[in-house]
Amino acid sequence: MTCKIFSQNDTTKKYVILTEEQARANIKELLDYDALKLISVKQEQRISNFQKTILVYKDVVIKKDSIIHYKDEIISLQEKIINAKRFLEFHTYAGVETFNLNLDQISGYFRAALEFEKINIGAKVNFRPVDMYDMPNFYYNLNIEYKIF
Amino acid sequence: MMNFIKKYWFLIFLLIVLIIILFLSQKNIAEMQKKIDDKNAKIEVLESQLVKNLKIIDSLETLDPVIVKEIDTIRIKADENIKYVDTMSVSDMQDFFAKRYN
Repeated sequence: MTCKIFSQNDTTKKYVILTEEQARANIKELLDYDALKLISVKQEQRISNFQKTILVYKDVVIKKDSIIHYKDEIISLQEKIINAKRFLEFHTYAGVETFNLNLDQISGYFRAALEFEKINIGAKVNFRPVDMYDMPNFYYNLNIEYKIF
Repeated sequence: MMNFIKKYWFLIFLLIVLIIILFLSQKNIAEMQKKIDDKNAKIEVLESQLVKNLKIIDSLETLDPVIVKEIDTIRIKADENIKYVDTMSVSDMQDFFAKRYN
């Protein structure tokens, strides 16, 4: 059975004659094609969004790497500051000392020192409760020490 | 005055050396502290940019389910239309081709 009403333009013929069954199949495929075209546009949108997301994630990774790099540098600088503070320390000491091994000739002292990594610079105040030979009961001295080990 | 300097030259010399060392040490620490502040400022800028980026990612990720839903809707509508074709009258089919190609 042929029906002239179901016709499409063709490049070679003016009309294509379709049966009713063929026309229904044709309409179904055309509707399917239209839907797939719309779906294709939507899928393109999804792909574009995924690509944008990947780019933003890459940027996030780069920025996080930069933050880690800066934090490493900060840690390094803080270590340098700590070491620089250790470079110079101030300490005071109080003690007693004997003259040779004479326990009855004990003298006391107070010492303050600026201590560098290898060198100490300080002052010492000595006081003696008892007379010792020709040494005074109270005297002070300045000292510089080099740390051997 | 000169007598005092002559008498205590070593002490004065030590004090001057000490002051110079302290000054240089403090200057160096201040420079390093400034570098730390600069880097912290850079980190703050990067963190604010990160927040913006994470918002963009969130919006893009919430957009995907919307598009998927739209695709489902298109598919459902297309299936309904395809089913309807079986019940279409000849004149409806004529209209369909006429609308499509004219």
